[in-house]
Amino acid sequence: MTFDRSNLEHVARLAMLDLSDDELDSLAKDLDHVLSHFEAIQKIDVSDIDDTDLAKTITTPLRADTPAGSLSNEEATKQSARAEGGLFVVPKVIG
Amino acid sequence: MDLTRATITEIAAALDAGSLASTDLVEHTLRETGRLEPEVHAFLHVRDRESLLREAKESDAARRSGGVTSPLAGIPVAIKDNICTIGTPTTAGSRILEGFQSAYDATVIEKLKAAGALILGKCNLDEFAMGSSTENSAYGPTTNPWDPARVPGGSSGGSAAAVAAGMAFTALGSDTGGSIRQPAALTGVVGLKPTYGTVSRRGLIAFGSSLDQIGPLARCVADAALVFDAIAGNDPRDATSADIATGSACDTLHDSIDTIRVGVPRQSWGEGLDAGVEASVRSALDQLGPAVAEITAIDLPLLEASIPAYYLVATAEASANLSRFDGVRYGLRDKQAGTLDEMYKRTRGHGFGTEVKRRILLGTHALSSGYYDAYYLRAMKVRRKIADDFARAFETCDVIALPATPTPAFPIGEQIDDPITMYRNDLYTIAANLAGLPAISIPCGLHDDTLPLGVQLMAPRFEESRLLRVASHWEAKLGTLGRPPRISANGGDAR
Amino acid sequence: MTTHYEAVIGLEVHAQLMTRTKIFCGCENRFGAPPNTLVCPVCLGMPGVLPVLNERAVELAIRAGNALGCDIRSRSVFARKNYFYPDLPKGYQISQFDQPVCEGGHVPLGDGRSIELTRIHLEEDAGKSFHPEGGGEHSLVDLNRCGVPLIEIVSEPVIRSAEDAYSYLVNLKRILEYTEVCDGNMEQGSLRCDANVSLRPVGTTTLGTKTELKNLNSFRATRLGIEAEIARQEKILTGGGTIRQETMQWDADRGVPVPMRSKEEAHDYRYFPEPDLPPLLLSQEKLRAVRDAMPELPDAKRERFQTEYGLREYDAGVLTDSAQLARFFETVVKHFPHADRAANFLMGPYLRLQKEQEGDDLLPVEPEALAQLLALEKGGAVSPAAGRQVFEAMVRTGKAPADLVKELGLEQISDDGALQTVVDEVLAANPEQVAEFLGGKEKVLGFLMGQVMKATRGKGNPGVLTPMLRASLEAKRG
Ligand SMILES: [Zn+2]
Repeated sequence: MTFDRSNLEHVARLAMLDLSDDELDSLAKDLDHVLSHFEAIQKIDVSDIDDTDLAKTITTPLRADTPAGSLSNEEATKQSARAEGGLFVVPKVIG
Repeated sequence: MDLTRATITEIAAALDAGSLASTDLVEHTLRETGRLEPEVHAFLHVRDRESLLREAKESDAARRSGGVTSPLAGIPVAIKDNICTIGTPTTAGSRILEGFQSAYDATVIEKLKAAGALILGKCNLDEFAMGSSTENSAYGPTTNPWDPARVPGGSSGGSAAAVAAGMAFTALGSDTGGSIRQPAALTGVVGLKPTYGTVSRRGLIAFGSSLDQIGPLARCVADAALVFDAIAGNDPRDATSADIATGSACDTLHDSIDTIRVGVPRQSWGEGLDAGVEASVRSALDQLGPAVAEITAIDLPLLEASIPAYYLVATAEASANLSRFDGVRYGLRDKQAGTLDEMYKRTRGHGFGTEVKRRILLGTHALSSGYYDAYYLRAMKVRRKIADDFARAFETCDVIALPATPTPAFPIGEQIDDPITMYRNDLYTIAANLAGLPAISIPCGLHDDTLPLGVQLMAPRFEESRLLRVASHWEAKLGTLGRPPRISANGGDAR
Repeated sequence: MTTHYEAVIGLEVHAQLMTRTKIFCGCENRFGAPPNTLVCPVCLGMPGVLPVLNERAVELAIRAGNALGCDIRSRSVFARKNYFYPDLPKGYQISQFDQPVCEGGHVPLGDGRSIELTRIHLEEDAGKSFHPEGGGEHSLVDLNRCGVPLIEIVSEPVIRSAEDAYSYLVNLKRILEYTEVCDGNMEQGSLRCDANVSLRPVGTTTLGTKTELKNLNSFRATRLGIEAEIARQEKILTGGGTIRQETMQWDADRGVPVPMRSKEEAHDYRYFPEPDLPPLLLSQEKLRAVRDAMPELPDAKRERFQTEYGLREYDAGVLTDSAQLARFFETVVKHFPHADRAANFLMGPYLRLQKEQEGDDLLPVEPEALAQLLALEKGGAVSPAAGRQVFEAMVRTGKAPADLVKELGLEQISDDGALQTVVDEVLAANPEQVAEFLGGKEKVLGFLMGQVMKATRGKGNPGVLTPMLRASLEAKRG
């Protein structure tokens, strides 16, 4: 499998990363190189593995349904680059 | 007492005896930091002198009134800057979190504070712990105290350098694929990565959630054991925290190891291992031999495959973990952007460094439609096979010994543009993360009499006591390195 | 020859669980608080935070599964669903993907038929983003709802009409309310419905291109929205066009489905197992405990109302139609142990008034207060007719029935002398009717009784008046 600039543009869109033209070129090359090295794992026989859970018998712990308090609105919003009236402000959400 | 070399046990005894005060420790640390930081750049933030001295005085007063029981009381500890602390910035070495203040302390910080330790400051790291050299910090690289032209390793390079240079008595790092052990080895200190689930991850800014563990970097194995005992334990606020009482690792440190069987993977001596490193590790094994029951060869056939398995799993998890840095609620925001998507893309495109973007892209690809089975799922299966290989190996041995790194510290700038070469630095360390095992790196001498080298031990899950016991005996034979002679010019005696 | 089409509809219903706290943190699960005041580092997606699963949320999901006849998986797995949106702080939603907590099951339609379910899974709700009026280029984000526990109930695509989709939703809501899994408040968004709609020629089995219809936030919207979407697709298909796979939003004001995004890219959610949460393993003991704590279901309650309270099947059905009304009835009867009278009052004046007020919600009267009123009525202190006036005043003012009886001067008149005067006056004023009665027309008695009650402004005690009126008339036969 090769990885080219169009692959990169696709994943950059999914990952919401703005990349310059130079970055697109160099990162596409990097990732193609890295992935070609990683092809080695395609040769490993994994047909005997059907469960990748390392700790099969451990269940997720459960939390009692008891309120534990919240932050104040001030604390919650003070580090936002833009918050007004206790709300986070973002460029318009479309749709 | 030479405070640049003293162990925590020695310092605690002197504090108890009244021949030393916590304020002396603070003064020493701040003096050494002031002297060495311009060259080393181990810290992103050192707390202000006034606060530290006030806390030290309180600690000294508590000790005089008999209110102190922990050996860590009054001792300043340096913290890797991907661990959340109230009252200091927490940046993870990233521009995207410049100036960010955590609203809470990580569980390990709560535990250190409960033990009476002082939080000294925040250490430099590769951005979001992604790297093996600390060159990927948005705030500039850390240099190796043994040779300022070389890297200290990474990603906990700042923590390692702070301990190696004698600025910190001990430090916390985090280890996703070797990020504690590799810099420990390259700077000549001890670095412990605990069993996955032993130390709470709550408050550790996630890189690879199924691999990350917090652990100590220390001047000796006993110090590492002390810090480990202080930070380990079940945390109900971390669902992956193990509910298993492991007991104190310090208590059994000096018990005999004469029944211990040591396994050495045949695959350790493969291509890419520096000849000097190999000689040093073999010599260290020769010294360990007489103390243990046996040293035998074992097989870890997938050691080489651990690199792709690790980089696919870790980056896949990271690609999701780093989505929260979107400019909405905290951190950097690109204010030029007119639309929402533009805001996301520009904030993240400019806020993250190249290596972080490279890994987010790789991880996104590994999870994306049409590639999930071939990359993420297959990597998880290989990971499972590696864990099974370890389980098999531990049927015939009690600990596994192998090099910590393939080479000594490399020059700054040498590998930064070559991801594959950079990723190979983790060859010997990442298998322990994939299998969730505890592992430790201890110094095993100097390469060409100039650069530190480390040897590594791994044990079955939750066998930190065994791991540290063997490491402690081995360390007694190999000796510690102390501070690099080149920076010891002014000495470090507190009195 | 024209092609006839049939609709293929699948519903995805999101139900907020009635927990005290959110699914992964200790913030309160509560509607209506000031924006961003029920948030903490965990639900804000601050760096370094970790989720811990709420036990109650798990129990309520299992309970819903039990009530709907699902298989409860002994091992289910949480997964991250990745997408960027300002109301999703982590950039992924913790949900369940290929191993949900419940599989299978069905929702009865109330007429003997039922709709099969694919699955029920647990997940976290997102926050809310909205556009201020005249706010121009910006949206505002409130994260109070973010992390509220949800179950998503997914039906098989086997619903064939908007009418069936409507009954599905009505019956599902009733079961979720009954089991106290969800409060069913569609206005507040506790229960939300999305529909996948496609059409295919009658007689074929392959599925057509589907659209996803969102924002169906009432029963009415569900029916009208699906009807309109079916009509829209049918028009396109009969005109020779093709359906685009897209997400539509129901515009209730204009009564049309509108496309949500024009340049929507195909989503790639990149689901993968949530590394912060080990799998959820459910022991037999846990499943048994949840089953033992299961509230009574509608059918069982209807039967019990017949046996325990001696109600007729129809009455029992009406009173158990909603869990709230059934609970209200039982509380009334606890304080006023005459089930037949309580049932009559609820089925009569109560539901009539509720209907007049055009609400599905209970009237603002405490069941204890209604029990007091019924006791006053039974004890003769107030007549049934006056009781209805008092009840209306109770709903209006919230005052106690005894106080209202006094305030409105509605004490029942049982005094013989006073009532005899009224009867005499009425008979004197209606000589024609008196004559008709004496001529054998029995049913005039009803008219005369009405006149008497009117004259007492409904306060006359019918138990005293009825024999008195008859006796006075008989006395005129002379
Ligand atoms: Zn919260």
